[in-house]
Amino acid sequence: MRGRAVAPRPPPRRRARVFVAGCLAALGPVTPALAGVGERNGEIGADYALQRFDSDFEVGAGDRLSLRAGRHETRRLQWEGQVTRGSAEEEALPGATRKVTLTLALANGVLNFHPRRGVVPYVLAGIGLAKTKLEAVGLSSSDTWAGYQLAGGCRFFFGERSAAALRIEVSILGNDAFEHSYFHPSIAAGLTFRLGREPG
Amino acid sequence: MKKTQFLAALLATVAACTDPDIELQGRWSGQWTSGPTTGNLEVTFSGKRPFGDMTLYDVTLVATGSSCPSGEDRGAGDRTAAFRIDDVRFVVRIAGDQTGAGDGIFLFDGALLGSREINGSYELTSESCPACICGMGSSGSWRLLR
Repeated sequence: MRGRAVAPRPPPRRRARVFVAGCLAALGPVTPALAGVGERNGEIGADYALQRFDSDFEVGAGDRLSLRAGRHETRRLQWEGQVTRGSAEEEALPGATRKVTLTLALANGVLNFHPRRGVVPYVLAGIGLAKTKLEAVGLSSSDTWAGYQLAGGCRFFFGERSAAALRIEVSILGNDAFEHSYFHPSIAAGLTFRLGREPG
Repeated sequence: MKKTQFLAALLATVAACTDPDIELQGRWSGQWTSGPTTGNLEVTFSGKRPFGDMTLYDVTLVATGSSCPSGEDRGAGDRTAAFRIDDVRFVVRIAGDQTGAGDGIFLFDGALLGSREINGSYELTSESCPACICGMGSSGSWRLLR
């Protein structure tokens, strides 16, 4: 008789780092220049985050994907909707997996700054709903309650008159579930696109 | 029946029906059965920690029986036991040699009855268990009492 060979899976954190490093390597050489975003522009984008989950869950880090869409009401102020979903898991023994899946739908208020053309840093605060799904050793449960976030980041537009930008963000997601509050720091990188005319 | 006696009886009934934060932590003893083979089982849950509305434990298991009169099968897992409402599931590894070859992995799936009894079934989820000597086989049933 022989025991079943259990092939080690690459840790999610390594895959995440490779993805983020790949994005930065590909987009880093592009010189941020003369483009930007401003009043009455729309904006859509998607990003990938390396997501660390609250230490209470003891699952470490995982992946998170986001879709965003919004409108710049003024040069400074922007409203944005964001849906995001992330998960992380740890397998202590085969069949004894613990997994956390977090799904949020958020309305963000974004405050943008314009230190120079083509570079648009920002801070944002968001609130919405969060669904937390937990799985452990084949048992599962979920809870949906308030979700929120604080974040800051920057858009780097690609070249003169470009409508596309690299968006990098650090954030702390929070959510209430199972009569507790949980906090999850993350770092994200993605692409965002200005909709509408170039700002003057 | 006097009013005070009635109230005391009512309170006792309510207390008996209320679920006073049941948990698994501690030592449980019982039996395992696999076909015609049967033996004793001792399971200890420790290291209690919350996981949402579930509770996770470290688990150790010792199986003995007439098929292994001079020995025992001993398994363990860290945070591999989960408990929610009345569902109990845990996974233990019965270790083979130091390289990990020959490990046997068992999954135990059960239901808590009241607060002092767990009944369920188990299965061997690894291909085999070369290190096992008690003949628990590839599946069976189990029952534990606190």
